[in-house]
Amino acid sequence: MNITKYRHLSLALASSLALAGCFGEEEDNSGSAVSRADLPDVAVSRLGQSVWPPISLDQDLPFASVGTTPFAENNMIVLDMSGSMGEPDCSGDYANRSEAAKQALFAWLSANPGDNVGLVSFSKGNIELNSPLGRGESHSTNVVNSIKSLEPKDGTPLLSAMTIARDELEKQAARQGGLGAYRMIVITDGEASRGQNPAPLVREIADNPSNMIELHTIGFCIGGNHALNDPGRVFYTSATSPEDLRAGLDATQGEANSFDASTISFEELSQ
Amino acid sequence: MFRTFILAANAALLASVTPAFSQDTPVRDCRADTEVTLPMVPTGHDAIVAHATDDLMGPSIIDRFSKTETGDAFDVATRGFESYEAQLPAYLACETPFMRVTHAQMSLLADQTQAQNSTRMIPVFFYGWSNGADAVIGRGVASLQALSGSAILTDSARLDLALQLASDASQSPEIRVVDDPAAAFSQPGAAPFAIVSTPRGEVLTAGDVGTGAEGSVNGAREIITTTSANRVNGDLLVVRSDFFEQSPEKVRATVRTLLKAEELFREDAKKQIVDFTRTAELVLGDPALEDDMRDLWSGVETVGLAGQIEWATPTAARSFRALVNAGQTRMVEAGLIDQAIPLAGPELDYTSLGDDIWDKRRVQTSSFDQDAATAAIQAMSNEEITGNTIAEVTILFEPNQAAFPLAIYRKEFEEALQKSKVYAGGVLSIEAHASYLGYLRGVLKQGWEPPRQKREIASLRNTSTARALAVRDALISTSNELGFTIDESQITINGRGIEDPLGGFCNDLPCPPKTEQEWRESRRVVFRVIGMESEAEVFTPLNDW
Repeated sequence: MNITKYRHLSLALASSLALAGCFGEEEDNSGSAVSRADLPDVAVSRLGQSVWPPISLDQDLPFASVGTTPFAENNMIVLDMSGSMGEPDCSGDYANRSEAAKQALFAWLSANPGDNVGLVSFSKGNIELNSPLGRGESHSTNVVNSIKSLEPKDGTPLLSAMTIARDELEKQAARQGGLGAYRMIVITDGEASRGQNPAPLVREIADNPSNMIELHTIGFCIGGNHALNDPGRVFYTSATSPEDLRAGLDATQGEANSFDASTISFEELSQ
Repeated sequence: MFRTFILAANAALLASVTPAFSQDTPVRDCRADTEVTLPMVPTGHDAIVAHATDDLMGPSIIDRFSKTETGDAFDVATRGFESYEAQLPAYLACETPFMRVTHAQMSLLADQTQAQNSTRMIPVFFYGWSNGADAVIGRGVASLQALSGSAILTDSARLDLALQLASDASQSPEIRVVDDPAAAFSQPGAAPFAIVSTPRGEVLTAGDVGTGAEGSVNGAREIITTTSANRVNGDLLVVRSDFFEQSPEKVRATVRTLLKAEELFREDAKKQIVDFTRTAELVLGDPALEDDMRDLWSGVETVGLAGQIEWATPTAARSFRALVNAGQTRMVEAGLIDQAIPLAGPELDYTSLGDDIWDKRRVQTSSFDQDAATAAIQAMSNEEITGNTIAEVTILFEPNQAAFPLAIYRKEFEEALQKSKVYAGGVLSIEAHASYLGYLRGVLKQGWEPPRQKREIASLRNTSTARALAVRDALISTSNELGFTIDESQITINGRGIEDPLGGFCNDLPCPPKTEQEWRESRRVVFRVIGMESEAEVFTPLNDW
């Protein structure tokens, strides 16, 4: 079998070069991803070898078999309201990144009333779980009001905030037996505080084939060598085109409807 | 009013199973004044009869209830036998008009008992099922998959289990009926599987894997027990045709007494007032075997009045008629009998015989902790799931299909329901798989990045789980339509997505289907009966009533 496991090298290099000039990153904040050559396809063979979410995570939570909505889609928003989000560059037609982020979120929230939504934010030095996952009009109103109230100020504890979001998603995954969808949507410019580089968490989630959390970044000119703009691990959407977010969240293909004799050999599929 | 004989069976009469059943023994007619003598063999169920003779605290259960419907009391004796086979001469000579047998034994005995009208067997009472008392031992094998095309040793008392396992193997194994399967299994070059009593199995396997020391067999291990296959080996009581014709009122009264004895035994066992020392003396011939007697009792399950009625209803899934018919079909296939043999079924009206039963229902509670069972299966590797599979049924479907109409899948659903009944102590996992061809095209032709790949994997798992849920609902509808009662706690849902491809893996990705047929077969739902005997937390306690 001639399988190309590391197919991303040329694409990734081109991507890095194109994005590198947009935003200067300090070495410590870069959250630099590993080189593309280290990113294999998802090892499907390992799916059955580990259990996600961890069974011991929350033993008293019911499994999907007794849950009412085992296929619910869950979106945990991590909203960066650090000081750098008050900057005007990379915010398109908006006054600053903070405003661009809020408008992108409002548009997205209004279009997705059926999904579970939660919010973690950091602003003015506080990391807060503003809303655990939930749905319904009242819940959405609370999320929107929380977002409105946030002001860009102080540091960027990205890793801590994303860890809270990960925990919320895994609790919900335990309730749903790992079924449904789990998305962590990080709205940020990527400038993490010292010690808050999210790269380890990104790798932990993305490199475990059984971990079904999708990582999404709505970014403000985040460089291509940043962990949150790593096409091998993260779905990246520019904050200046928030309408792309919904499309990016939805795409799946399903089962093949036909058996095409021209693609029956692995060698041919690999070309 | 009752008398008990503990007879050491004549060694010559214990010579062998099938040979013992085929030896020439004198036949004598029963008379109307023939004494009612209940035979006992060394099984857990016979603790009930032994306890029913206990008169230490007052009149025994037998004394209190052995009366005809017109109020005439009659004597009931009991007689212990060292084995099922040892009863035959006494039965044919009408020393005991009753005989304890299993369903398969009835067919094996037919050439002796059905040769003359007087000794024809009429089943009158169903004691219940083996539930842990019997074990399948394998040497140098780890799962039942290896039974296919292989060979298995059994005695006649456990033949029903051998026949069931043979029918569930992809290729029928040879069934060798021998006197002492444990002894035969210990011989060099013996068959790799044997069915023995669970205590004998523990000796052969040294409690884990046999080493060859202290009676164990090197490499022997327990494969499954009747804890999983808990609707296979059943104990029943038959009566001679001539006695039944001459004394139907005594037969009815005896059955009524046994029904009451079962109920009272359960109550006394709960109150811990059953004298197991005395029971061991009567059933096993040695009061010192009290602990063995307790173990035997814990390895069986009685069925109550409702179970008696179900057993006597020909259309029920595990009725006398269903068991005998299926067993005989397999016995013919295995060359154990030449052709099917007509056997009478239960003829009594059990509902009317249960007047004295305090609780006529059999309370059905969930047998499994469904969440724990689901978690345990999800934690298994593909190899572990295969290794623990006792039986399976597969159905195929079209791409992205979500509905499973009964008209198309009825046969498979019925087969799966039957297996869930046979292996009622195993979990019925509805395992759904999705096709991976589209995934492979996306990864290898369209260049999906890993995040897109994971999303598709999750989506296909959701699709397969939704499919498994739809199949479960259809299965339950089918069971209702067929009049089956199904323990829904026995069913677990397992959406596997693309993680167990038919063709295995090629460098961590599913190997692409080589043919259109393989592609079609990759979209499959497998009903899999999985033995969970090592997962104690999966079981809820047996029913109490």
